[in-house]
Amino acid sequence: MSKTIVYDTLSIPDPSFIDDEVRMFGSSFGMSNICIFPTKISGPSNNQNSSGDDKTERNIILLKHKTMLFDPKVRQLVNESSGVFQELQTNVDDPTKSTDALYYSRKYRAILSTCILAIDQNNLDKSNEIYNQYKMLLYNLQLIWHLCEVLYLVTVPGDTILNNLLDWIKIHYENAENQASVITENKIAYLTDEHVEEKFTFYWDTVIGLVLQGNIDTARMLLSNHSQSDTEPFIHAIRIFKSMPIYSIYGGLPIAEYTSRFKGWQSSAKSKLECGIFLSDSNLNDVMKIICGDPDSTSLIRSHCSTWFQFLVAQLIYTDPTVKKHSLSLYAHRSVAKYYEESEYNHMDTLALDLFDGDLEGFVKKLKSYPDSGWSSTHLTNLLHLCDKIEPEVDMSEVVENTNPNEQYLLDYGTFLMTHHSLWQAGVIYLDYCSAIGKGHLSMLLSKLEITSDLRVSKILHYATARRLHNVVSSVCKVKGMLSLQKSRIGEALCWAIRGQDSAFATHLGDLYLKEFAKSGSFGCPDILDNLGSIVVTCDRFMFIGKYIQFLKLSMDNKLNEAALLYIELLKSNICPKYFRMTLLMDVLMFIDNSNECYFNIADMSLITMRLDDAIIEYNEDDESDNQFLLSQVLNIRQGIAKLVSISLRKKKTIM
Amino acid sequence: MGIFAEFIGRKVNRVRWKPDDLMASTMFVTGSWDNEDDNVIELWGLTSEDNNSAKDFPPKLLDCVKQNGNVTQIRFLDNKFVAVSTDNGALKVYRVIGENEDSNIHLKEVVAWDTLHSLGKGQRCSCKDLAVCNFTLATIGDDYKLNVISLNTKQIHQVLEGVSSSPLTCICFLTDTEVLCCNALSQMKLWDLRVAKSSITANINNFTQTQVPITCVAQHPSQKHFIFTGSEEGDVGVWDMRTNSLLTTMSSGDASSLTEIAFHPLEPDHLFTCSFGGRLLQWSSKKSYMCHVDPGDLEYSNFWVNTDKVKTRLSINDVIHPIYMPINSLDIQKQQLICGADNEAVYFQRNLKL
Repeated sequence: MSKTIVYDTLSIPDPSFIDDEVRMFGSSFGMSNICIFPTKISGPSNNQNSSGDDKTERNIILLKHKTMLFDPKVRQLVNESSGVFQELQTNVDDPTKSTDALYYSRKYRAILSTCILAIDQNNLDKSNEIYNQYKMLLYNLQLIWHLCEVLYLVTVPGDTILNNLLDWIKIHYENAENQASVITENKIAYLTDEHVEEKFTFYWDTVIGLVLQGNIDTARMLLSNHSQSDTEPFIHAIRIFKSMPIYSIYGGLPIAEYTSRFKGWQSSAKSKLECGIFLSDSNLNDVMKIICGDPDSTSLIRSHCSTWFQFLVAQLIYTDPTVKKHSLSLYAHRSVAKYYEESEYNHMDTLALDLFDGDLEGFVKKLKSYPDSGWSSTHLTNLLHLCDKIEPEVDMSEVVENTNPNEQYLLDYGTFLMTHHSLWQAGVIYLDYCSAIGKGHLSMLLSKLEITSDLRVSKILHYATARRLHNVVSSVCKVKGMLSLQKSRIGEALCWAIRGQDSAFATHLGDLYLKEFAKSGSFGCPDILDNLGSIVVTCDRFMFIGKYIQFLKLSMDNKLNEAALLYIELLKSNICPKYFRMTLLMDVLMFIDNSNECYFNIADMSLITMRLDDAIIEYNEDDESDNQFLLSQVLNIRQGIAKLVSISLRKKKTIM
Repeated sequence: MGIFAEFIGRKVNRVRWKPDDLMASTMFVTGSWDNEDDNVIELWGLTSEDNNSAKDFPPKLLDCVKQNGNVTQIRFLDNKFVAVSTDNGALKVYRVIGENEDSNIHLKEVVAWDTLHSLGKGQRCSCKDLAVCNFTLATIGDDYKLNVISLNTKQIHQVLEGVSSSPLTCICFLTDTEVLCCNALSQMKLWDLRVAKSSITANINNFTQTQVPITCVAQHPSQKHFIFTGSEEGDVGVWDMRTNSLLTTMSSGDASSLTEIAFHPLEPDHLFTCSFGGRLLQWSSKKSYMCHVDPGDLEYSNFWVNTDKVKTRLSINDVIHPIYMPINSLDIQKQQLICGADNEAVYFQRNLKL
């Protein structure tokens, strides 16, 4: 019964296809993406030449379905459903919250209806062809979703499903009911004794439509509005309508008793029909034929039904009103066969048939190709999975075993949303529920998002931090940091280094600060350097800068004793970067003042000398021209040290 | 809880009520972000089914003005003028043309600076935040400039350059001559606008070592020396600007970045915050209605100074059901609260419990 349907044909205007030997290879992946590789197929004759000789350039062609989900009016569908989806997932994990699948299914359907309404409001004159199409798609989706809900999520005691099916049909095919209210609300016809059936040409269509939806009360009301309603046939008909036994689950009648009552009622109606009571009005006679379940009426029913499932339900009312869910499949196949003269199913038909067959797996697979970019398959599969209606697929490969079957849908849908410039945040929600694979995807996709604004960066960082995707955080911070550095805004770059906990980058920035200081004698960005915070712990360079600034401050405030202690500490720990050693050693000159105070002991002084010697050796090893100035200072430093030694000697003498 | 949502098709970065003198507001302005080249500010009006019933959601779109870049801030100067900043460095002031002036309500541009903040060479430079006080506007941007603009003269009065070395995040007027700027390294600086241009720094305060970016700031409506800051880690800092000290920090348990912090303008016992975590919280310091409130209770009027009391008596409640997507902005007027989020929705709560 499956049949390939060609929805659309597309020709690809690529030069490589001019060559007759070029064939199209391709694969479809994710949500509605197709990748095509034009490939040259060489005939067997020139087989030996062909290996790797094909030097012509070929394009790889990526085809994407145009999706309705990204339309500004349909975007609310994506956004609102993502909220419901998230709520459902969190409630499933929380044992205190109820997760009534029916409740959520109705919520999703409500979202669909709202979206249809929104589209309608923007397309009041129905002139926008695209919106008409979207509306139709969403409307059909709602219909099929509702059927799924009726068949699988609503629990019916005794499995007598007909009433639920009637509710379903009534909601989605409201034409008859609307026409009926037009007729009954028209008081003029009633008061002026006009013939209702003549005034409204659709009178009998409406009556039949109502009868076929089991809406007997309204149909009876219409009949009593008929101009001939006080004649014999109509009185009989109205009486039959009135006495029709209605099955209700909670009505108290056991099925067997109801069935016998129904049979009795129908046979009495049938006997009246066979007596020819209704023959005076052919339309009325047709209606009664339907009610009696007369096989002749099939074609009449068919002509009043726009789809085969409407046809199916209409027949069931008068042939098997207590039909069980499991026998629906049989009836469904029969009515399809009767409804279509030749097997010409569309997508909706196969979807509905799968549902009646109880083949949920097949249904879900077909739903994936519904042109809504996976919105319905993702949410419905997830819902059915959560209430255990779908079992994990058996034929899945071993790698993905034990993962839940809807994960692929979530993954595809989430990835698909991530491609949108605004809806990417909704995509994150879906990827969150795809275990480890989802996390991998998310980490990849988040770091690939285009950094268009700082607002976006803060959102990306928020998502990455909350999901512990440290690689994303550090890569985004690195990119931002490098951008700042290009604008030579070192302070900003340092902020990003701190944010990304990137000590290598911070070290680089620290070097910039120190080199700047060595050149100009002052540090830039004092407001940052005075308050370095946690960066001093993670980055050696900033530990040095922090201490060094402290040292400068102390010496500036003339607290030379403390400064000396810090100075020795800095030399001892040896965290000073090579290029800065000379600058640091030159600071020894600060301690020579007129007060003849000695700040260092012998050990300190030998340390200073040692470091100086080390530095000279190092500087000599890599002789760069920049160092010449510093090397020229060696003499000064040595003189300074000598001075310090002399001061301390003098001091000692005086003490002695 | 009586919450209404309207999906408007663009992620909302800012939402503001149009102030109304006597009645509850019936109009609000939203500003969008992250929608490629199609970012707008939109003016919405609440609708009512007939003339007798109160105005309510769904709102009706009254006007839509395209913006060159993401909308970073919207502030009403009074009940007519509204200032809008974007991350392309632009600042625009619009006037709401109301019902009694024109048959269709719309926004009219009054004055605009397209490159108030710029880095030159066509580089994108964001205007980060905007503060208003008595028809004076102050803006900060990525170029580390602080601009002070008077709407009366429609001119830039003062430009302070190099306000910070790390990215600025938010700004707030303490008095009409003092401006507080916060930056991404958790620093706050107070600028006195009366001092001569060159040595403008009145006060540099460095409060913490934690270096968590301050994302939003609010001033207590009646006790003006209390400043409340929201951080990227979700906690609220309470500062006393008389002593320049941090009094206390409060945390709600939601560790995501706060996006906006606002007091109820008439009931300062209630503080509202919204966060990236999708929660809109009400922090109430008011004693429960059941308790007897002594009007002369000095302790009560100094609530925020008494840190023990803050820890024990503050109650935190969700105003709307958590929505799992960042809520970017909120605004309160009378009993009505409105907030905008990244799920392209605007939420409306008609009757706040105060």
